[in-house]
Amino acid sequence: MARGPLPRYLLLLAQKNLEFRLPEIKSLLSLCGGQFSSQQEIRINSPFWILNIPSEEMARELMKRTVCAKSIFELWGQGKSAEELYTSLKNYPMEKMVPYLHSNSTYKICIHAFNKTLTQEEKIKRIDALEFLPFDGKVNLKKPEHIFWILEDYGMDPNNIPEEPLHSYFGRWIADGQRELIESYSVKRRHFIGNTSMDACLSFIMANHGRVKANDVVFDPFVGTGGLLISSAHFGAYVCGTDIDYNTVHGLGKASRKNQKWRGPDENIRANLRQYGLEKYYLDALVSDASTPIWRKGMLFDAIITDPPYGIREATRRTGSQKEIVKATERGYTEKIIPWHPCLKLISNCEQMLSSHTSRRLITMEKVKEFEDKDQYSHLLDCQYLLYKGHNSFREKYFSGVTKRIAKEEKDNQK
Amino acid sequence: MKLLTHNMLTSHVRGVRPGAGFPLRIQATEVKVNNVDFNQEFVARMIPKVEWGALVEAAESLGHLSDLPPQLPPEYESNEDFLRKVHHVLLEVEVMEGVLKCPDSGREFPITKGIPNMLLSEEET
Repeated sequence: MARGPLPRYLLLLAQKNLEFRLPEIKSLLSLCGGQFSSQQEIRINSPFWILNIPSEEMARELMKRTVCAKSIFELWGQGKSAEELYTSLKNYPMEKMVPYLHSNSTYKICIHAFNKTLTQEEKIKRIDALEFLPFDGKVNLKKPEHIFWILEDYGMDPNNIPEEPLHSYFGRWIADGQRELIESYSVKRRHFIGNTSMDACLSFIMANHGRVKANDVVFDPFVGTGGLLISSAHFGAYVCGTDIDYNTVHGLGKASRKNQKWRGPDENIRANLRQYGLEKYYLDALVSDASTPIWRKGMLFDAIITDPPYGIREATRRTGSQKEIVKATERGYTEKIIPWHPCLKLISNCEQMLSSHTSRRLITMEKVKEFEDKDQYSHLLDCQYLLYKGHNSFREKYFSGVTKRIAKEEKDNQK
Repeated sequence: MKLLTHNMLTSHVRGVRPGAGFPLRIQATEVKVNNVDFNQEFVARMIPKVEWGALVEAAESLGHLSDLPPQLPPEYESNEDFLRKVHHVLLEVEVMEGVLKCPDSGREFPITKGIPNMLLSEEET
């Protein structure tokens, strides 16, 4: 069988968490048995990506997991102008169109413009212009079997919207992503939260970066109220967490909600999973110091997904030795500061801005080999071996006059 | 605390020789049995990760051996009866109150409301 080019799909992404999107899609494609592939350069910040995916089934599997992408379409045509789009559509193989256009089927055509609002008249005009396509089926606006979309890209600048779209696409809708999970798992309605509970969207992104799948065992050594475990449990993993704070693990003490003084009896990690019907995935929660591991040797966990303390909200605690030591260079961040281990391969490194002068990074690493005794000295041979002040460098800067001065300068500049 | 988790825990008290801190002896004052949905694939997947002898010993000490054999039977992956028994012991039996005792140092880690407290003092680490 001759191997032709892979089918092309148009991925429509949400314009949030921009840096996290590519690692999420890459991780998910590899989880689905494929790999990230695109014949053209992906415009990283654009909401439109064209991907080569070997089958519609794999495209659907991708959409069952992603919270970064809104929808995926089988791409039938595209162009930098309306004419280019129509030419491209005329070149799309007829035998690929026919199954979705035949007279026994129902369909509708929708239109979406990014960075522009089209009038009803403009929308109808564009849909009517596609009359040359051999649609033999009946239009059904309520429950059509097939839904087609015209997608127009008017660029990224809301203050400079062009008259004509920069790119136009036409495709058959395949599936939507999982962005609805963001609302249904929202921290706002969760029974048990803490001051630092991770927002739902990011916790799903993390489970996706971690390639969590059903029947995995996932561990969080800084579990807090269990927010990160929830997203893994949603994808069918069995979850376990530890935390150094007895009260948090037990669900005791002061509540984090406004208007609530003390935590209720139904506030703990297990109850959170129960709230979403995920209690069967709860393994255990333990009180433990993450720097003195309590686990025996062996391949116990498929993924460790965690949000360690940054040293600014909790009281500083000496938690013992660090295996590798990394030095802070002048300002603070360079690639060399990322923790390094001979058995771990860096997969991705995504920055999220928290304020104008602070950010945090989500690092994903994959274990690629078993630890051997000789590995405990390997960092001495590496030219990236540096000295690091640990948590304290961030903590010191955060509380020092430096950051307060920057904040004041910005305020002055805004006047 | 479930027995799957117990099977992964070891004592980390200073001075305990590697391997001598496992398995922790369970002294339970309250044990609960829950219904957890049976997931055959998950149980079959966990069996190679588990120290079988320690699991049998722990189940027996709680009075929940449930006919678990002392050795793993061959071709257990397709033996649903066997896997259901393993499922029960791994995931449905929970120690709610009691202690975990280090077999080497004797140090006790309390279990309260199902949650073990593994914290050590500065001198012990």
